[in-house]
Amino acid sequence: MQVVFVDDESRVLAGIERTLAMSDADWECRFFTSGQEALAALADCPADVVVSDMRMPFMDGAALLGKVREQWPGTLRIILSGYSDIECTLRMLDVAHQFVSKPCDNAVLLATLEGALSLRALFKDPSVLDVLGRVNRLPSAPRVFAELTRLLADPASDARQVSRLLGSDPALSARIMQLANSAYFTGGGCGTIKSVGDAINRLGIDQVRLLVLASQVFADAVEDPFVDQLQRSSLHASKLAAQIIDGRNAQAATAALLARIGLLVPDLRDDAWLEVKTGCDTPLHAAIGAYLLGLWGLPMDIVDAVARHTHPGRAAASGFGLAGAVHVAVALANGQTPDLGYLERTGMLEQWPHWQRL
Amino acid sequence: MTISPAPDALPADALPAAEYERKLHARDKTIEVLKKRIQQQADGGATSSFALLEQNLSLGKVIALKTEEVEHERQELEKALTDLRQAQSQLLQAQKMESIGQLAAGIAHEINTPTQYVADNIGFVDMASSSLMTLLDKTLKVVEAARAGQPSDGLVAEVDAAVKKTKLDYLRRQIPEALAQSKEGLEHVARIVSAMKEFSHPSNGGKELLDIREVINTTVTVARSEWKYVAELETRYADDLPQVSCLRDMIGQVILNLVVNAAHAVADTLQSGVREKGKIRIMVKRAGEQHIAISVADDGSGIPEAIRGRIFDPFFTTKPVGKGTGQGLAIAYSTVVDKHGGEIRCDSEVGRGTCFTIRLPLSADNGEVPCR
Ligand SMILES: Nc1ncnc2c1ncn2[C@@H]1O[C@H](COP(=O)(O)OP(=O)(O)OP(=O)(O)O)[C@@H](O)[C@H]1O
Ligand SMILES: [Mg+2]
Repeated sequence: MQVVFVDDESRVLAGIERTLAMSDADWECRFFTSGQEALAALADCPADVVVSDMRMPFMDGAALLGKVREQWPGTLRIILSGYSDIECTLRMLDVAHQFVSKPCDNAVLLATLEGALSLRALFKDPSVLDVLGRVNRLPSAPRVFAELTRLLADPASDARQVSRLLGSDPALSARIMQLANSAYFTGGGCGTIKSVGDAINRLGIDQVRLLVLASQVFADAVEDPFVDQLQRSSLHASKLAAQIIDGRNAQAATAALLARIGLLVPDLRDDAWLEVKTGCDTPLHAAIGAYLLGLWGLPMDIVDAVARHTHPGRAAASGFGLAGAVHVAVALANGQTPDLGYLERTGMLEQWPHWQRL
Repeated sequence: MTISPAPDALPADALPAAEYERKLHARDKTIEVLKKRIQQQADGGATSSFALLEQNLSLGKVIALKTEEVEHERQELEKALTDLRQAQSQLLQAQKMESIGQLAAGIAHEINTPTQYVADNIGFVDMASSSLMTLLDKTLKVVEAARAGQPSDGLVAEVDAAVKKTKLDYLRRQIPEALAQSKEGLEHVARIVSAMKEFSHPSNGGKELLDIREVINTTVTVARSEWKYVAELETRYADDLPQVSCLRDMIGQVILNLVVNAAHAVADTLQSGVREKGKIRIMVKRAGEQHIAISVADDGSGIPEAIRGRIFDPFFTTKPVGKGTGQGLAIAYSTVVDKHGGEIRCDSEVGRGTCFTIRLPLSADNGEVPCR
């Protein structure tokens, strides 16, 4: 595994190098004090991950990662930085997959890297990684986005309304979950954020307004019946999942909402991709959805439920749980029959007639 | 070329204040004259007739009325004047707070960076010391065994294995370095925090005799994140600098405004691969017996001739919203000229750079603010 670190303060690099030397990670790490040097070295030998500081003279982290995205889209891009002003923050939102705030516990940095890298095993064919590396945001339903803009502009609207609306759109929800799960945006608040409602509480309405609205392109606003339809069925699945699961309702609602997010990747609508094999026998769109969410730092149980939402039974006998609820909800919302064998094995078959009436 | 601002380029608050003072003075005079007239007429009333008395009475009434009116007006004017003074000092305070707010973000970054590597290094030394302790324990066992007259190859082999695992050479090199760098990091943080404290500490509105170099060094440290990504900053101080009587926080603010302007001007000229950093130079030297001269020079964009006459105007700015409000130089002007009886001038050439020079009188009795 090739990892590149970039920071204009060489002592930061030395600190990271020492941390890695004492850890079990056996990555090949290279360290550079400027974006230019890093790019030159990447041209000789590309990397799996680039971790960069944001504020550096001349070529800052966002500029560097932008270039990395152009030339090596499959490379994971992570910002490790202290505070930046809002303009810089929006620029880095556009190019980085994850944001680690400085100072960070070195265990956090290692876990972030490990988690992101482990996801790559989902695919046999590395060309998928290149396609996905270019995806930084997914289209939201224009109707929802317009309504959200209106709501956020109105000072009288409260977090509950915003939460309900944001929680009805897969792309927007994914974004908000990405931001809320990064200590960078939550001032170091810790613990994983497992639902859209928690995400909004953690970020605060002002940050939601700033980050969500500003980072969404207006080109999204063209009506797209496919996106619209997907949003409706995902919302339906989300509501069902909250009723099907016993406890953890908010998390199930969020996981089911995000389950089919892989279908929103524009390139994926091209039939050629349907032939691509994944590392396991998960269908490609499920693997892609899971990969993106994992890349964006969402909690692993949501990523897992998304990966397994079409074939829940493949992964050992882990019981029904979140993945099961998401599986049944998504099937129901799309007029399909869930895997009844799986329901039987997990002892849930007798619930099926009841769920059908939901 | 030298620009001294036209009268109408003075900060807006300077003119009305003077105007009010003048008006007040005029009113006082009117009252004085009217009083005198009554007095004269009362005194000179040898031929005291009813008519004269009546005339005097009505005149007295008019005067009483007039006096009341004038007194009222006077009070209003006085209040306006106080309000204005207060607004002006609030504006100064506000700009100071605003620049501290802007600086805070940069300072947070400046502090977070050493915090990051100090924490990493502590984690490293922690792990290193625990593996060294393990090694030490194993070694002591060998020593004990030898002392008891039962040397054990098994124990020695354990020590050998532990040595191999411990990357001894690496630790020998890295531990002192990690500690040294951590110490530097902590010193850096301490320096920034104390500069910040000094910079933001108000000077009770009184002048003090100061070493101007300290004021400049503090400001440069606090503003480091504003310039370090775009320019090298150099300070050059003459050897024979006397102390200067000045308002510490306000002169610091002026230097800050000039340095931030210089950094912005330099940033506008940077170009990939061609010019990646500019230069800012702060110089202080004596200017004759009674003054010192502080100059802040940059090799940035320069100021087009067409706007040079307006740069000291309040709210004149060429910067986008969020980057500048156009108060920096207006405040520098009022601080240097009104508060310290000094001068500020600007030499600039488009494409080559700009140099602002401040002349400050050494003695305290210039300017409107007294010595403490
Ligand atoms: N060193 C400089 N080089 C080039 N232009 C300058 C320089 N200093 C000032 N200027 C010009 O003068 C204008 C006024 O400067 P001033 O410091 O008063 O306001 P500002 O920098 O625009 O905003 P603020 O200082 O309130 O953030 C600037 O907008 C800029 O056009
Ligand atoms: Mg300015």
